[in-house]
Amino acid sequence: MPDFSTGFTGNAAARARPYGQWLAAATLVLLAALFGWLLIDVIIRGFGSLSWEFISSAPTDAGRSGGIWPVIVASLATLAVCMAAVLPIGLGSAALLSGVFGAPRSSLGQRAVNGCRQSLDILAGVPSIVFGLFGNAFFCLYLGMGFSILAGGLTLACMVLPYFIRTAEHALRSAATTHLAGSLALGLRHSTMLRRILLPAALPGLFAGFVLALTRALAETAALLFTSGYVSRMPESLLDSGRVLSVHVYDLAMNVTGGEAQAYSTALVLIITLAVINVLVALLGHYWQQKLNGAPQ
Amino acid sequence: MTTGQLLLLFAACLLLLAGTAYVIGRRRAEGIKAGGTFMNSQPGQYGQFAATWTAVPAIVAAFVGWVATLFGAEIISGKLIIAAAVAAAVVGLVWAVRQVDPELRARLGVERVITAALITASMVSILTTLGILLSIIFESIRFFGMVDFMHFVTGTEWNPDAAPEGSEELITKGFGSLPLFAGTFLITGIAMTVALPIGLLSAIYMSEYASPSVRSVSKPLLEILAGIPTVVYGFFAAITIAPIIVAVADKVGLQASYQAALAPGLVMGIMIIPFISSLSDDVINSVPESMRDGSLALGMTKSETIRHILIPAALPGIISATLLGVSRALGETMIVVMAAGLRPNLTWNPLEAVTTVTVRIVDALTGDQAFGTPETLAAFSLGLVLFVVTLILNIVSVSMVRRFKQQYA
Repeated sequence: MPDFSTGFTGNAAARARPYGQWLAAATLVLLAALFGWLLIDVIIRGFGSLSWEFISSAPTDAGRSGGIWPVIVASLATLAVCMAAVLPIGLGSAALLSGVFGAPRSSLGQRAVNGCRQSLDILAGVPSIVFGLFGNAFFCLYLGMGFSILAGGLTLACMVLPYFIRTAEHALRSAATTHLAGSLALGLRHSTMLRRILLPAALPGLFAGFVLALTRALAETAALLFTSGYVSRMPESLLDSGRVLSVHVYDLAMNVTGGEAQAYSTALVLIITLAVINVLVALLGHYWQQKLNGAPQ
Repeated sequence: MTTGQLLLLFAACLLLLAGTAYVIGRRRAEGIKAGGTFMNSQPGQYGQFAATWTAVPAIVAAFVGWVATLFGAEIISGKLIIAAAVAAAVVGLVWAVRQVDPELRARLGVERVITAALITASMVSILTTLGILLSIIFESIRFFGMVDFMHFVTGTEWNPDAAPEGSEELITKGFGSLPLFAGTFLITGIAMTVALPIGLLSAIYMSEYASPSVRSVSKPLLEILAGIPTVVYGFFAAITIAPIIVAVADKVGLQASYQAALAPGLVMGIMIIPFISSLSDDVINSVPESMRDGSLALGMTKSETIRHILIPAALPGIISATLLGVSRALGETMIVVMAAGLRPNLTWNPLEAVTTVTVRIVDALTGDQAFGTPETLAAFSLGLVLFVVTLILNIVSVSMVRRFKQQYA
């Protein structure tokens, strides 16, 4: 009697046992446990010194006591600089790349599209510390901005630009596939179509790109260490050095003995901010989706 | 006046002039139209035309003036630049308003300017890429003018303080980068040992076994976890994980450092799991359903289908995800800066302290060294190597995924 079951081991009942499923499920549980540990660690140790006082007052004794208000202001200023640079440049690039404004007629335009695409592919993979090196050499030293919020914000802008452009391009393109031909057939100018038809249809996607860029910028530390600097005083202008939340966590944990408690609280503030942004965006996206689905076609 | 006030003044002038140009251009066009002449474009478009030709020369003039000050023309003050820009705007305004004519294709002119603006915006990405490359290459050339290249590549001792300062000859000691790269690869290796199996198995669970409700919760959750700031991971590694490793090693009778490579390695692995998992999940999902059905129809069990059909089919994509993960780990900074050591150490023992490329870059540039010393320039050479290695990994990975997608498209 030849053995037809060659290649399979064990009997049918053993083969049917879902070991694979148990293993894979166990991995997911392990994953949840690891991240649960990380988050609970930060929450438990950070919750102690978290208070309104902590948020609204200035740090004293190198950050061992007091709060983080100037750090929050510097973070907001850095993000504002970053997004002020990312929005016009990113929207312009995305409009060109997605072709909603018509394919570029000149060879220069075509070359700009190809070059921009390749550059974005490269930029998206560059480690953030290399952006920091570039920002330090170009913005801080070459353009003479020094260690400043302006230099830090612009460095962040270079870093998050690919994320924003990719998401925005995708949003504009998918809005264009449904609306472009119709609005052109009605004789609308490209600019009118862009403003009145495409922009509203692509708005949820553009917003998602904006938030992605914002959260990436908020979470970044390495690119800011030697571009926006360490000074924890209240910044007076964009050319002042300013310490953002993540740099504050780093500095308290590494350079200030006895700063761990405050570092945990600052990290908790950072994580809560990111979580709130993400949840708000998810809710808003849900609402937008329902509105789009419910709207008469 | 400060730069901010100057910019505000410039913006105010520009807005005022462009507004005036719009109104005048539109009025003129309406006047002609009222006379019964057929116009090429709408009156508002003539207004836009005039406003564009007022704003663009002013912005160009201001930009040229600003670039000139950068290249050392210090006679040019901020006020002078603004005066020149306003003059350019007025000239543009007068010219454009005089151009208003039924024959003028104002609409086309405006759209051309907008296209030019879009092209300029997309140039920024190209210029940033070139700027990054040029700035790190330029500083690296300066570095290799001071430090022997072969020594940098093959030397085994990294100790910039021991290097002779201010000597005329090429420095041939203190800048051997081998221990830094060895440390980087050790930590990356530990990280991938953690991230690859967990990431891959969780991806398989989510795409093959999980119910839609589990999937709809865990997928966005993983994306949020991927956004946790790395400084928090670094903190966790240094303050929570490292003491545990020391305590456990002590129980077993081993000696572990508080900056053991194991702590940043493990935590970096956790950081990369969501990344690997979400990439692998995409790849496994894009394996055609017919291959699963065929395998199940031939009597294979689900886990056999996964092992013998799905994973081989998705292999190029999985390898590509791994390469992207490695590239992430190599360039990761905050975790190693906070949890790994500063002292270069050529070892394979994960319980000893090692340092990495990124740690030394941060150390060189956050110290009180003046810019232009061999130590700060060394950071740029290390950055260049990092840039090239991650770029190669990314290119290989992207081309593998592309080939995979073509195969099953």
